[in-house]
Amino acid sequence: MALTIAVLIKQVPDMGTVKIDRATGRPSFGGQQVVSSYDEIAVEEAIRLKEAHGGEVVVLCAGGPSAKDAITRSLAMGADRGVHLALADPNAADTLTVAGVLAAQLRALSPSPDVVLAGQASDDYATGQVGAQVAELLGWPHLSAVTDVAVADGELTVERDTEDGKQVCAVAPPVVLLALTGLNEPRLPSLKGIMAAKRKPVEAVTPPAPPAEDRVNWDDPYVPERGAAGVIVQDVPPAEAAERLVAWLREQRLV
Amino acid sequence: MTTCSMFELTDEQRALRDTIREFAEAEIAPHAAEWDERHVFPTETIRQLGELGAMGVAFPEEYGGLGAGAVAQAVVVEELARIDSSVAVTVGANASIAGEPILLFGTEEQKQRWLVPLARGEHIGAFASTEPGGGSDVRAATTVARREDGCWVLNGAKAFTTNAGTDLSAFCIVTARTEADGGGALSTLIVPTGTPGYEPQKPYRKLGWHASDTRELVFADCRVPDDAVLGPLGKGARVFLTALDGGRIGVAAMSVGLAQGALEQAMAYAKERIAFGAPIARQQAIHFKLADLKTQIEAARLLTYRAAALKEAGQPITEAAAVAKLFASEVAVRAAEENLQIHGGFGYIEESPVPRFYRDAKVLTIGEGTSEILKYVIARQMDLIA
Ligand SMILES: Cc1cc2nc3c(=O)[nH]c(=O)nc-3n(C[C@H](O)[C@H](O)[C@H](O)COP(=O)(O)OP(=O)(O)OC[C@H]3O[C@@H](n4cnc5c(N)ncnc54)[C@H](O)[C@@H]3O)c2cc1C
Repeated sequence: MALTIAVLIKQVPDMGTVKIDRATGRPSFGGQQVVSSYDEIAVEEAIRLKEAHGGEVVVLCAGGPSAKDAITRSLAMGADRGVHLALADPNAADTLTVAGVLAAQLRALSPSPDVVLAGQASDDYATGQVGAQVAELLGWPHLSAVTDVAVADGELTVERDTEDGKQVCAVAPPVVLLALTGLNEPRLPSLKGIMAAKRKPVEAVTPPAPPAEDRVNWDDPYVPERGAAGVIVQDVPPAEAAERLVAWLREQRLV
Repeated sequence: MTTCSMFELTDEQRALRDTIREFAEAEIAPHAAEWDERHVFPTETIRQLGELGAMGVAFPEEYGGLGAGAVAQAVVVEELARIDSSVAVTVGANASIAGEPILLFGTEEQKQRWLVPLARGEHIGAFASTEPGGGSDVRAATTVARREDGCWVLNGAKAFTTNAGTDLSAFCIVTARTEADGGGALSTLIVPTGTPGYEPQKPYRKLGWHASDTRELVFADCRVPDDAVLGPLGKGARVFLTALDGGRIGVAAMSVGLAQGALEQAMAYAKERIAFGAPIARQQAIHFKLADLKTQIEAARLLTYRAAALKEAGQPITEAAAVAKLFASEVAVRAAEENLQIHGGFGYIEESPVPRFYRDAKVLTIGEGTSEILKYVIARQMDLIA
């Protein structure tokens, strides 16, 4: 059974390169922008399903101009086409707004997707809300924490992590699946894939402006204060180290 | 051509670099020490690189390549050398001195037979010019191809040939004197590795590049058909020297990558090693070294990319490639040495990549034109000598 699969991806700062400005306590996201890690697992799963059963993989990304890079990366991995939904800063809108934009686009897709895959949560804000909201808006079932997907006879057998083990569900499309670590190991885009990506179509869509009212407000992220710094006594003979420690404990009036 | 006023890579070149970097860190770095110690040619990894598309970066798509250009090719080789110079030279030499001459001088049939599978990573090739009797003096070659019954019969020996005897090696381009037709002139012939009389000797025990394949080759009545000649008969020196120009960009890229890897190792150690109560990076003697290396590596990288960009634009590259290779290879040797020095005694122990980088660096000032020969090439380009 050939599948039309839509994947929802978010572009986020590479969490490995985030630096904390000690003076202000604010993170600085100067590093590279990447596809959020669970979303990349979702892309990989979509490509694997297509490779096994045939069909098409469409990647949807709502974001600013740089979001195109996230789509290009997915196309380089093997997705067939992309839709870039212009949304200056997806974190400025609340999750339901973003889900609304994505759901509207999914409804407009032709052919209508059998499976929508997304990551369980994003690397940056990690609310885990968008995937479930999209499913509700579409009126489709969704399964979260997905760790295995098999397709046979027009039905999906999905394994998911639960708090106390695993659950296996049978579900008929259309369905929204939220990918978790363990589902697969995303491939590196091959050099050939990178070169092929620039010939794959990416549709640019400008969604209607999000509602002006703020339903949710975020404070700026901050780094919690560090506790008092410890004292390290290093590279001194044990007897001297002991003396220094005792002196310090006395000084701090701890003994 | 990449018109880049900021001298930055394009998005596509960066994407290619990221893939090769991820591959090198995940698939090569964990094994590099073992391959080095046991002198193993990593056949499977080279095959994987082929599947990834790394063997055909600059070759046109119609010949199995990616059509990504010479700058992208340099970037790929640089990234490999940042982790493992042996893998880098295997990939770099395959593209520049085996594939490129066939692209530039081959007939359509030769391209289909040898270049397409090379670019796709299905087989690799070699170029044998250096002889036991001499390398720099290309025209003094003594290997002979005798005309006999419409065939060429090769006799002689070649030294230090890269990629000539691996499980993936399919052909070797050989410079030889074609006496019957071309007088004493040199020609280049494509010799399939399976040809009777093509006799790769056992691999050399080298100072570095342990995981690359380098052998002496013996030709004993090695008979190849008429259509094995690559390029015009009697013009083999031109084929060779053209291949070398491109090859030098490859060696320059390898040098930049090795130097970058060495710098990163040195920086990490200098920040973490404590002496006299503080990380050694705080000592001016150490951070000045690192700042100097950073500066020299940036310069070497720009010279290398520039030579590659000229090649991509179809401009003459003899001088730019020689300048880049001369400068970058000497920076690599310095970077490897400073890295070892900064590591102190640990730098001398084969438990980190530091000594491997030190051993791997030296050949960069020798292969594809020694530093001395490059100065001669540059001086000639400057019209200082005839
Ligand atoms: C690991 C490795 C891999 C190699 N792979 C290949 C390969 O795939 N194919 C291939 O054909 N070759 C290959 N080579 C050979 C390499 O290109 C030669 O070693 C190099 O060109 C120098 O030649 P030579 O060793 O004969 O030294 P020589 O030419 O004998 O030079 C010896 C010394 O004299 C200096 N010298 C020579 N002539 C002059 C001059 N006119 N003015 C000033 N100084 C001069 C040289 O700079 C050098 O310092 C490889 C070598 C190594 C070590």
